[in-house]
Amino acid sequence: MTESARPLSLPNVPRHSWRRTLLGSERARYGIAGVVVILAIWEAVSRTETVKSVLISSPSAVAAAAIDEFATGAIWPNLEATLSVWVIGFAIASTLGIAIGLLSGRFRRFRYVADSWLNATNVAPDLAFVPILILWFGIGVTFKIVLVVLTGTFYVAVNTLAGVKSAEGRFLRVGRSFGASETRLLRTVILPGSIPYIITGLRQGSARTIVAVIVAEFVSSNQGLGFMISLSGAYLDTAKVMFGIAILAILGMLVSEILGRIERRFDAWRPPVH
Amino acid sequence: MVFEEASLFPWYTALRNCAYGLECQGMDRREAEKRAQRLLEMVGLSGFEHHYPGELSVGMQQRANLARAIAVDPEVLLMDEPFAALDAQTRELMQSELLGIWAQTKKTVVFITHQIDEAIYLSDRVIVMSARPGRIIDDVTVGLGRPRPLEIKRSREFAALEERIWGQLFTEVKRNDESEREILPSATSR
Repeated sequence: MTESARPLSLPNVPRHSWRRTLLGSERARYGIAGVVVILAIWEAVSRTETVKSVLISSPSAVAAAAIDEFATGAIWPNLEATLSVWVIGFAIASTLGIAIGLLSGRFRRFRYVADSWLNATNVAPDLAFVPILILWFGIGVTFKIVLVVLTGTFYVAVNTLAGVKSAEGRFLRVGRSFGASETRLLRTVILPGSIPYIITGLRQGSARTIVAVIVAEFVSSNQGLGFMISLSGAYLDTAKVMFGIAILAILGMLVSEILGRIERRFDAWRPPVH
Repeated sequence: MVFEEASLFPWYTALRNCAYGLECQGMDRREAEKRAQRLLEMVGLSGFEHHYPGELSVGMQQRANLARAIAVDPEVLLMDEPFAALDAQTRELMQSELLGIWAQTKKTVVFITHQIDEAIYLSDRVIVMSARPGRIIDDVTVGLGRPRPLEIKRSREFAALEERIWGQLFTEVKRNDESEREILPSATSR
């Protein structure tokens, strides 16, 4: 009964329609105009051969490459290879990162131990690990997943830790004054308070780990978007390179949008920011 | 415990906040919420059970806060300047409502405040404390009958009590001020 009453409680937020968000706001209009203008200049420069079109490709050539890739289905194995490595690796990195972050936040000594390692893996360029990882895990999927985990864990852990630290003393005090156990405090005070931070960590981590997958595929692979991009580059197929970049950009935006939705879902309690 | 700042968990609704203490004691969530519901009604928050603290006014937050503290049925309720952040009118209203709630529960309440009239209006006994070091300088028994309407604040008896406490605090404040000037002569020489 209480559950059914819930939807009535929140003020009605008008549902946004795509048409409105795409064309309604000044911001969107100018944003789209900017893209269109740049594409037009690009196309013109390429058509007139002001710059060799083989070097810079052109929007129409990229579109043609896209249509070709999707029509023949050639894109799917590559997309699948990249995505599966990323999803598995990022899931592990997120779990590990959140766990390390929570433990570091709760246990001072654990933090001292973890801190130096997290900082070290952060400062050292993750990609420098590639040769060693290949030695250890071979050139298959495993080494790529490990690279993603190495890259992503730091961002999630550091942000989670910041969230736990920010779990304001007064809320912990309230919880304790009601005799809440440590596990209950974790579940009811520390985690909910840290969610915005954790999501920030996931956002940062997701962008960096996509880069890691692509680079790993550059270095050693026979499949994946990174492989497709580097191979096309070698064959001077710039349209296909650009197409690969576009796919990655779209992927990145998609992930960011999904995380944004999760964030809003958890953040129902946050008063609207005006 | 009821603190000065509304310390409701911003990520829970008023109802879940109110049920929190009961759940900590091991009560099953459904039952805890049922009981919390009744307490929210008592403090005049029915209809706002599913609002998040951010959607409530400061006064309403303090009511929910109070309901949460009463819910666990403590032996003594400690209220640390709970109305300090409220505007004068809301504060008066909350004072008389607190008395109403108290009349239903008859809990012992230790109430900390800087407002002399608030202390007298609410209490049976006012303990006046000095500043640094905090020592008891007076123990005043308030003989006003109950229930106490707000108008009682304008009665002669009330005024007499107010004067007595204010007199003591005044000498205390003055003495403190003077001793501080002695320690910090630069403050006066400017």
